[in-house]
Amino acid sequence: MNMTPGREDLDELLDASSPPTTPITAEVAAEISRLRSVTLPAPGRRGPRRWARPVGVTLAAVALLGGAASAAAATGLWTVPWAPAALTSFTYTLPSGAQCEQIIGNVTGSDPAQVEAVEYVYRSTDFDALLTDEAIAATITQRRAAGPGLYQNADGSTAPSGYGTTHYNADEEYSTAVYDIVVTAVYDELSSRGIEIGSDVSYQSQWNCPGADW
Amino acid sequence: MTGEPDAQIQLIAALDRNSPDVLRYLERRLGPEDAADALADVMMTAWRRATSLPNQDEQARMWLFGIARNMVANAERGHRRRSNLTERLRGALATAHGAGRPADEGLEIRDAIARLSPDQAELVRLVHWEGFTVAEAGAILDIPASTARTRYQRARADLKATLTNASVGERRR
Repeated sequence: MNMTPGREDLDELLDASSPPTTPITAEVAAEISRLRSVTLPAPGRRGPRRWARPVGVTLAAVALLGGAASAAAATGLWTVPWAPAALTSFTYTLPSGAQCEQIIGNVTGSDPAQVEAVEYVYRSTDFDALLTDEAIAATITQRRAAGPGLYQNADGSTAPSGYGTTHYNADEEYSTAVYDIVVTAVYDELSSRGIEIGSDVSYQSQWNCPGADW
Repeated sequence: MTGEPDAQIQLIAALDRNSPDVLRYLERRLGPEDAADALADVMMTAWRRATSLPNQDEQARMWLFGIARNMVANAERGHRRRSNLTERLRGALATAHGAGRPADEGLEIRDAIARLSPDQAELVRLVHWEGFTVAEAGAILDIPASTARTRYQRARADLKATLTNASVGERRR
């Protein structure tokens, strides 16, 4: 191989030196599109959007302080391995009458001090005391005032979602408001301590709402 | 910069246009195993900062690559956790993997690039692998265009010397 490059030769060599990557097949493209949809946050939420109709026990890594959570199995059993060591749990009742219990835990991140700070705030906050009917109603009012969100159709097109649209679910609106209150409380507490959380800090959440109308 | 509803619509378009290239970038830097999770992190960060999305297409592309660049830097500092969110994309990548060029093609040049200083090396990669201009690559790396040009020229000179020496060594064997 002649490796004494002139200017144009060097450009060609450098251009051609990129490591081979996986071809973007139709399947890969479809999965990229799906990933874009499932990371889309609901209005007012800092983290990624929850699945439109959560099933199974899939959990998502959560950037910053936002959260993607999932429905636990209808059997009422926690299915995540970290459940026994969950940092916190709280309960609430959905508009459908279903009782929910939600747990949060498994905080990870590259900075141990940040992980510890998030864990501490979750452990030390009384979320049941924060989740009053008034607080939840106020959060729902704020979210409705912020206007509709975006619903992604299977073909990639979008439509308005939320209260007053065809893509509205009262149970989901309520549980999202609950989660907003929790996330906002933790975010505000960390901010008041002057703690800036990096984008790679994540935690997981799982909820159990037997009979919910998702 | 745009308001939140407009920003979300514009970000959907920006992600549609650029996600395949961002995925390729992440795959080149982190490998196929971690690229899907890193892409999810890029998207989540992008959504969170959607109101900062530039209006111009090329600026938006650079903005996304800037987020991706930070993800790569974070990933290099720590182990990336697998997310169930990206399980299907990882599977699709694994299925499609191997249909491209041979993995060792260009290996000697990549080795030469890797021997540059980290800043120079990434500048060269952004220009020649991702197709950015030197000034754009500098913006992604958060360095002035004039600094980027100087570093790039120095990197080219170093690469030329390295590759020439390799060639001389090869002929002498």
